[in-house]
Amino acid sequence: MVPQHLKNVIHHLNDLPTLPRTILKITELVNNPKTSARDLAKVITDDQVLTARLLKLVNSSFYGFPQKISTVTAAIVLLGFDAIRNLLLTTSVFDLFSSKYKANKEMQEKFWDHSLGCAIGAKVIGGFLKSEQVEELFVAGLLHDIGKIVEMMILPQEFEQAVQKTQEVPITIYQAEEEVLGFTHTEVGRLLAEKWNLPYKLTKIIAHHHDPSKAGRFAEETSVVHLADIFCRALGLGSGGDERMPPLQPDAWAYFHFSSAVIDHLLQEIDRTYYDISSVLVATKVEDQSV
Amino acid sequence: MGKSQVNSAEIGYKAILEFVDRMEEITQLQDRVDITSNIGQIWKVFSAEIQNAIRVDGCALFLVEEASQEFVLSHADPISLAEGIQKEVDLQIACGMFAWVIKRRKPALVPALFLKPNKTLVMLPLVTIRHILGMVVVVTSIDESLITHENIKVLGMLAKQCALVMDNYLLYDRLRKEHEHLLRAQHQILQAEKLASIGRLTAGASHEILNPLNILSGYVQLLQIQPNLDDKSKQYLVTIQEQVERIAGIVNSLYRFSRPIETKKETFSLQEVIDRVVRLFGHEQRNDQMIWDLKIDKNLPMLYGNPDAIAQVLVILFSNARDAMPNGGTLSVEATFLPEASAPGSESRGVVQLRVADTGMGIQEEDIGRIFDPFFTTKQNQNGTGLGLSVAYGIIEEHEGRISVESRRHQGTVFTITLPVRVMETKGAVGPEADTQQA
Repeated sequence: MVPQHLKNVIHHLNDLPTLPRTILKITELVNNPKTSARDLAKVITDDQVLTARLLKLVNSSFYGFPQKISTVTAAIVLLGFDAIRNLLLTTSVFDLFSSKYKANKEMQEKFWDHSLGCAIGAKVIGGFLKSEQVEELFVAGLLHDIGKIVEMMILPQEFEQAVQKTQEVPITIYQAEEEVLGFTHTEVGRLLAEKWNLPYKLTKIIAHHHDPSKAGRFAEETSVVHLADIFCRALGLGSGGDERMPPLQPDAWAYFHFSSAVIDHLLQEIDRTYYDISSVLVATKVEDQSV
Repeated sequence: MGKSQVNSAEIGYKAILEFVDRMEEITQLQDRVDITSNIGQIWKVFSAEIQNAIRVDGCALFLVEEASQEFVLSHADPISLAEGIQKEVDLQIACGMFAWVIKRRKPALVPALFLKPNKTLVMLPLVTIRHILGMVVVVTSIDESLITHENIKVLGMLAKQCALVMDNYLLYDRLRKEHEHLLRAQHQILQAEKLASIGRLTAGASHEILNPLNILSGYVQLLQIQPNLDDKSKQYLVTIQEQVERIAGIVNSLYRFSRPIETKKETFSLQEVIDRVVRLFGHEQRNDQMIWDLKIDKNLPMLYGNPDAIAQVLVILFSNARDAMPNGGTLSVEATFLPEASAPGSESRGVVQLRVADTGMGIQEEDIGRIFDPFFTTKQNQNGTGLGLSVAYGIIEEHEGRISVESRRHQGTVFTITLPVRVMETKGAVGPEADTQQA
């Protein structure tokens, strides 16, 4: 049975911002196997802001491409469809909330810092594991706590209560949410992901990043995000609302079993990359505003 | 509304059918890959599959060479593409593109730099979690912006499969070589052990046989000086004497195999020994059809041992070679000094390697493990005793050397002997084994 509060959330979901039409269209195109780079480029170049941002990002150190990419088609061709979709999704989600909801601004920024940290953590861990999907992992890390943002918008008082609670008693925000709201940000995140028609893998990771063993065939990817989440807390990158580390799931750890030397290396790598990438993202935002 | 639903259902249905088709194709691919046994065959299967998936001008396989860690063109399909694609890849490597694709571990579409105009490359990295194996480069005339998502996905999947299959093959191959190496080593140990035990047995037995044989020979000689012998009896006695000597000869050889008769050891020139034996063979008319091919290092170091015994080994090997080439052929004798190689268990300054190769009928595989065994012979109707090679083996062992054989049916046989070069002691010093031998 759906708790009363969650019904409330579902009701409010319709008021939430939707993804830009262009992003929806792009997702649709990427899901169609017959799409060519030319089809996709046409949709993107219709949107000047998106085009400028895309070119800025593909030429950033995140992709480390050896030459300058000057056209959208070249970017699509070189990076591939999934990468482009993820990249555009990232930037869109990024400013979707920050621009429209001014309340709780400080906390929201901390959330995004944490999300970005987790995204980079997932990318670094994925890279260490030689995963082919570091870019997907990045997006997953970025969106894993999207449910908290929703809660903050729709149920600001209740969410504030939950945050308060974590300061009074030694519980995590996850437990506080359950006590105060009757549901958690993972459930809310899943609802939003479904509403936005995000890729199934992404939805699963958002829904299960606190218990990766439930993520079925995406358990390993979810475990990466799960671990990245914990690493970011350790590094103090942003905040998740509480100042506590979520417990590490043994099943998830079973995928890694990193030695302490490896953990040290990963933490350093995350910290270093964080400052590189956050500067790029901030730069694109500032540029957009001046357009 | 209703109509569009039917429409999309139809499209969905079609997509599922296509998907099932794909899956079937992939299963078939696995069947075809299953029976491959080298990189070339694996490549053939995948190359065909790539050309099946997308309209291509050609494709090429680049593999990372283990020693240099560089990408080396392994196969090009069609072969006429090889030169162009090599130049193309050189440029792509120079501009960092290759490294980028490998690092990203995903297929990438790249505009051609050399194969202009209007060619597109699809780079498919062949990587597994453990290894970077190489890259498949597909050249197509399809404009890069018209290649679909599906094309790339299929090619990516193929590359992944290909990488896994090749990785498995390479692992298997390495293991197989290691295994063969171990088997050979084990075989050699067994062989040495077997011959050593035969040696111990025959040393005792031959001594026991020689004693009665001496008595026998003595009585035959006594009989021969009896005055009233008829011609027939004399003839019989001569035959008996001959055969007794033959037995003695065989037993002596056996004894020699088990414990070569101790003769004085000296430093000698292998070059001289070889020359002597070759001259000896040159005199025999039945060797006329044999062509000699001598490659003797000018700077062979002196060896320490018994030159007569080594000469005997050469006689045995040369005669075997001659017998293996009844219709003529080439007998090559090659002697080289390998200063870096070491002989096991002894302090040496490298080894001299002597190769004796014929172009004869070769040795059957099932026989090759037994040719050093005493009394093993394939020359039943040519009076072979089956002792030659076992004697040679004993002599080489005595010199702390090694003798090994390789043979191919109808192509020839190669005997390889290595003899250690001793660290020279002061002149007149006795070889280390001499004392124990005489004791």
